[in-house]
Amino acid sequence: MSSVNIIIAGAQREGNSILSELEAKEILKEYGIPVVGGDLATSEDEAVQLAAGFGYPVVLKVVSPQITHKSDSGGVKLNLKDAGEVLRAYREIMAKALENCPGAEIKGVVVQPMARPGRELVIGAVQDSQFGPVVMFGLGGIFVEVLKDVSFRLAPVDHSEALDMLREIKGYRLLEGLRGELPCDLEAILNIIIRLSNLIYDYRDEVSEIDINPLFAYHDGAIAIDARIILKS
Amino acid sequence: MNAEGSVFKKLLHPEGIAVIGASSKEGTSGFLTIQNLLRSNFEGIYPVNPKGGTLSGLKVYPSVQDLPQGVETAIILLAAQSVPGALRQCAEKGIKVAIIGSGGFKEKDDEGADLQLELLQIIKETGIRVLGPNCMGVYNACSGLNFTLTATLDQIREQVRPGNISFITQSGAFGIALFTTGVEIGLNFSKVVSLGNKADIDEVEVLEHLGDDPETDVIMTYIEEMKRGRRFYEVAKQVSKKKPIVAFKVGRTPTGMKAAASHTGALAGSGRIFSAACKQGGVIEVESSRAMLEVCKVFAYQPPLAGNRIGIVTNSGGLAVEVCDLLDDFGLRVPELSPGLQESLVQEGAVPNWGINKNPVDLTAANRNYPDWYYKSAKMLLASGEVDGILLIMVGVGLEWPVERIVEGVEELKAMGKPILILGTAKRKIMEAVVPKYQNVDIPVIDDVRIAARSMAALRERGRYEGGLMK
Repeated sequence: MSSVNIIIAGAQREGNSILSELEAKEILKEYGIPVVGGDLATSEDEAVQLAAGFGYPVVLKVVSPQITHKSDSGGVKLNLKDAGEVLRAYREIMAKALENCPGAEIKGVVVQPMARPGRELVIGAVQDSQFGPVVMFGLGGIFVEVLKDVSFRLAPVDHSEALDMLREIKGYRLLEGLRGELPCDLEAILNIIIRLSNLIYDYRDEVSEIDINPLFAYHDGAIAIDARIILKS
Repeated sequence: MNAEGSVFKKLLHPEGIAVIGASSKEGTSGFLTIQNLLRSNFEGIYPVNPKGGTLSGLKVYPSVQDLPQGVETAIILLAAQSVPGALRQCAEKGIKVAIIGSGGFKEKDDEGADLQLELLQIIKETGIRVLGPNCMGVYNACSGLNFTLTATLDQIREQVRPGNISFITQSGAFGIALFTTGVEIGLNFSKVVSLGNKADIDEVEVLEHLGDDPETDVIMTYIEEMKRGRRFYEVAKQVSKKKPIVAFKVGRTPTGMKAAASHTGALAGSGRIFSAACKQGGVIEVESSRAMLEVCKVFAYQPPLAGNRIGIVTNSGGLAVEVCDLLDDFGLRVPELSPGLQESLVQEGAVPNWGINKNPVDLTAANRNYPDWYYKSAKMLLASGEVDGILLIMVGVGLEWPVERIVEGVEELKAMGKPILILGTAKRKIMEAVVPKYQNVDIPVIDDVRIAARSMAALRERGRYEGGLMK
């Protein structure tokens, strides 16, 4: 049994319909999608230890099955530059979690290296009730939230269909690089779209929604910063 | 012939039709259906009504059981609660396909939905196939067989010319209205199938059949809701390799999945996913029912655009500018002509000295030489290799005067293998007189600037798709 099946079966057994960030990233990795690695720390000492291991700066994110919008509830701390900042961030996250989500089961925090800034993208996938597995692509931030500048295709997609998805969005030129900026690595983005479309197609009976949000695209490569996978209930 | 093929044979080329609920009462569907069949010169009509006797000279059978053996197609026009019983009797009698025109099912209320479930159960148990319920029937313009249950279609019988466009419509009354408008603007139909509530036969099955129908070259679909989206996409992808499919879908819910837990889910509205399926399946999705009609007309008459360069000949500068803007929105170009071609246009008397010979080619104010000018510039542009298709903008006398000249020389224009469209407007009387003349020689006339540009874009979409298939 592949590790994807094991993770999904484990969550189903425990009755969790939302996978943890680490589980979601493990599945993406299995499909060859680059992810920012991370590890679970269950104490502040462990958090500091992990941070030193990854090298500074790092990011801390709360891990709780009940807290799905981590940043909305003060559960994310970015760009922590030393052990002192990590300690402080750990305590703040715990306090905020208790304050904003009383009764939530807090499993600890994920410590992960702070990714270098890139073009923010969103790549996702869902099961449509009529059309089955579909994959989505868009630019992150206001482009997706306000302008809804995204494109969809039925999964799985091939290279030319994935390229059509990129070209279809109004913000496509931002990927090509504006005013002397280096262009994004389109092949890396296409590769991720194709692989995610394979994932949602292969697991159409088990997985209902996937978000990679954000995905950072660089001149050389692209990487999933945060990910969420929701199982069918 | 496979089992599915035979369903459509019984729907579109039946040998005998039982009309269950036939009536002598004028204006009822039971009456109109019989009249439609009689006027189709169809000989196998078997009216069924408990009263028996005769109806318009036809023997009326008191019940389904009384029908002669061998009738395989039926139309059921009874009140909804009597339909399940009649359907079962049909199946027992050996009828293979029933068109249920009656309304009062799922579209109405819970009670109707229960009745529809009852139909499904009978379909499952007996294997009888059903079109509808709540549908307007079927029209085969090629054979002339009209078994719709409305008077509307019959009113334009004289104008209908059998053609190569087939129409799948989920809407009944509006579907028939679109058919009527289509006939009036020059669409020549092959088959019209009204789906109604789609308890059994749906757009996917009809699409699959029409894909193989030698009398159908263009498929037009009007969709309200889709139950088998994935299958539609798979079938469309195969059928569109053979012929263009043009789709218009209403009810494009902008909001995404209910209770979505992801960004993606919240954005995945049904309209967006349908559009994606169309793009991947090679289906031309249009933005209005009128555009659906015009684009089908253009496909029926003209070849696709092999490139995105459009040549324009006009007698209205303003309208030409408006078209250029719209073509640009659709990714089409109106390239300036080469100096050599510009010079030849004037030298060979295709454009007057005072006209504009660049592109758009502007013939300027009304002149008795319009026929020659339009014809010559069209021909020279098509022959030049500098454009992939042409749009003739003809306003007022610009539409009226050149018609004979263009009709007379049309073969030479067609021989270039590139699409020719007319964006034409004139007084209604002039339009009525000249538009059919152009369209009789396969040059479509469109009177709306946006739809003309959209039609050009559709020809390019198709050309690009066919180009991709050849790779």
